[in-house]
Amino acid sequence: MSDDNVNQLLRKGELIRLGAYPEFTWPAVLVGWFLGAIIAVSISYAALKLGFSIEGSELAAILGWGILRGLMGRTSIVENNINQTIASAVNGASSGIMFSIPALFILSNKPGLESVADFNVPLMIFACITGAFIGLAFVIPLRKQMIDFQRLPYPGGIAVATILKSPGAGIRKSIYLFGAAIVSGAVYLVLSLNHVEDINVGALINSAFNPTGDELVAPVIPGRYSLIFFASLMTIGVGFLSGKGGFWFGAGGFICYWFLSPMLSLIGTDEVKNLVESPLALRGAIYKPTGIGMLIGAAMGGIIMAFPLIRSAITSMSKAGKDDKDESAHQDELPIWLLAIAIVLGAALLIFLAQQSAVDMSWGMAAAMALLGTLWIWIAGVIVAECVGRTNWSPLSGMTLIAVTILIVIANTGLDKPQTIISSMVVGAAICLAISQASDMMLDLKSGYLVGGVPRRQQMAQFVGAWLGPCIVIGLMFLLHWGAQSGQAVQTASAPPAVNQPATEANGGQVTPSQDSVAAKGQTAPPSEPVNYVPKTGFGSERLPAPQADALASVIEGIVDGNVPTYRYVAGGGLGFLLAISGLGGIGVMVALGFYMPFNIVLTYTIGCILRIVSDKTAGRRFSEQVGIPIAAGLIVGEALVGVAIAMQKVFWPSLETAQETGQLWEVFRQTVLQIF
Amino acid sequence: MNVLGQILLWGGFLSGSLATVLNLEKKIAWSTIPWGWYIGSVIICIIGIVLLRIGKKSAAESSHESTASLAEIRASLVNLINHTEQLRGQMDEMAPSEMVAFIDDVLAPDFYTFAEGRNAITAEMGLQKFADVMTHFSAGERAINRAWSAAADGYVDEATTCVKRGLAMLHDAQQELG
Repeated sequence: MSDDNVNQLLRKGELIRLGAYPEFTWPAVLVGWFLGAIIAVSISYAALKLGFSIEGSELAAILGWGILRGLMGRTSIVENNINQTIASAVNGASSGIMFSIPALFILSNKPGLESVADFNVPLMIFACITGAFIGLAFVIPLRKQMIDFQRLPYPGGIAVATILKSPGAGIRKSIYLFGAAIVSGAVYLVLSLNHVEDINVGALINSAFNPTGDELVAPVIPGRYSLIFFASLMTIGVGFLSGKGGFWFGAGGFICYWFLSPMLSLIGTDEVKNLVESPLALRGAIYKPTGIGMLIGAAMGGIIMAFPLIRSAITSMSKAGKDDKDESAHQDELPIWLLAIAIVLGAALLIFLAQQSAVDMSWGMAAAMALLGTLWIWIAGVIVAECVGRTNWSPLSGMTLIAVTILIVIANTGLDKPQTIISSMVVGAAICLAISQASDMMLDLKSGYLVGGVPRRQQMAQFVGAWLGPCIVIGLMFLLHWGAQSGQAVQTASAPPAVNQPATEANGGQVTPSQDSVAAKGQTAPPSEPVNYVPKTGFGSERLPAPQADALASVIEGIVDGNVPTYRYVAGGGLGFLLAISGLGGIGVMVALGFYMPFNIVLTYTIGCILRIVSDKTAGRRFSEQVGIPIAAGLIVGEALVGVAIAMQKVFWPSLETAQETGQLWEVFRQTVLQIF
Repeated sequence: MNVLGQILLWGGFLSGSLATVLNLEKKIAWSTIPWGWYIGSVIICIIGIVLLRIGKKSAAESSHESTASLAEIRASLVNLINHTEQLRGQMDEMAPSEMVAFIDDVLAPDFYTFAEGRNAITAEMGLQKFADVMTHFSAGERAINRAWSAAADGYVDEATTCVKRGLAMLHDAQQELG
């Protein structure tokens, strides 16, 4: 720009900055690591204690503004985008690790499996890092297909981009964004303090028509319709950002609970009819495994249908890498050959790690586990990236479950039970991290697309952050586990009659195959049978319930004993495949996710979709973009921030009760130091 | 044919879903699913898909609907290029905030119109051409998005560079589209 032009602009009172636009800088990296570490610690703790995980990108973007712009005087939207990319890459380990590895500690409480907690820690960390890198190398070439060609909405990515752009978007949009965030955060805080998770509209309607609660009066809305809404403004915001594209996700849920459940109550066996009246248990026993199968089938069909596009995207990347004339195109993406090398080296390293994970592991078995695991990373990475792209929800636990199933089936052929479990979890944790990083990468690339970030720099940033998460989160895991054991005698297992507990959301709605029929019949296990051990201390105890890992531990036991609902995966897979090749767009994955997810979330999500459709039709698309999207993004941000704040409060400023439950972090730290020395 | 295809597809899918979820696990696990019923449903579903695909193909051959859509998106791309050229011509005198407003108010609707109608390219010209066009179009849109960010932060040189790059990419997309 010429001096005259600069002077002219300065006269207009505009702030002008000349020179390079900062993007991938040391301040962005260091702040990203710092924020990522804090968020990972908080969210890991929440995942262990409460069983849910929160996307940390929004918090990283907002705190990034505070630190980069406020404290350090930095002035770049795309630099903050790199900061949030690194922070969320670090945090990507929290859900991946906390939903999987604590299962080993929980299983170690069972007779005959005591040794599974004695896994090689550095080996586990290396496996997680390796998995994360393989996941990234697999998913990066899909950026073009999913973001450029399919233009998947990635609601979480839109929310982050809206935050990143807010200072330049004008005061009105910022007011919408932060106003909605305050409302959403306040509502979530009130609901959390009052332990309100759902609004049972069906029960409210029934009590309105039957105020005395007369049991002889038939309910207007039978329980099988599960008219219960997830109390979350964030979910409405996600639905709004998905818009009409989210329709098929809702359709999947409605098919389950408003068509299949009533049909089952008419023609099902007595066992099934009983189960239909408990939608949560029905989901765990039937809809969820069917949904997992459908997701896999739909993903396979989707890959086949999109193959020409995937091939074209990879060819285009390869061409850009060779085309020295177009320097900008060359710099757009990480070179395809580099990603291919990363995959090959990663797979080789995974073979080595698998072989080292168990004493009796042969190289052939290690190769089979690692190579099938690597193949699964690709398939599951596509599934999760697409699910997150369309709905913002990730079927991470379902995909990890399939991975662990495959691995245990292989390992079980030549290893004893403890070695089978340890080796499967080492490779399984790597796969879990890979899938988690893949979905996070795509989400961040969507934010990057919207703010004009260079994909190559973001891809490098993700690698820069991905290695740190496993080190921090596995360290924290041991810290909390030892802390929860502090002051207690060596744990002993007790055998409460937990077998006939119905599936709950706390355990991910899981009814393990072995529990399936017993739970359905409401039978109690024989008192002498050592069915389900609940540890008094450590993971799985009341102090640290680790609900998702607990569910995984139950499932692992079932798989080791050969109880896997493969028939339902296969049947669901066939149906998902058919929808995917129907030519009706990506409906297969969407309908499958509707089967997989709890219906309360589907219902609330559908409100957001309907609001968007109505807003587009009545107020116009421009209104939706200028007003609706900032508000929807704000709803996501507010709830996520309060969720993280609650988790951080529990970690850093525990109340007396929480401190007692967790064994006080200072005490935990002291014990850890004593143990080390 | 399209309606019949939809009925068979969804009828088969719902029937197959019901077969899949009908029973809790039986003693012989694989007999939990009534496979005869399930396979019958799958066949109905496949017939529906075949009818839908035939209907889609014949509709594309017999009507000018997709051609009209293609003409529309060609027009929107021409609009987009014209408006971006206008921005390039004026940006030396524009304040960064004016550049941001121009991208939001003028270019964003053009990008949206093209992106919404992009499937017409597949219907008329095939997947490979679609991929080629969208590669350039998306790179162009990303460059304009970067121009927005740079302008919002006051980095006028970067904004100028990005607008030029975005325009070049859009021209490439136009060349691919023909």
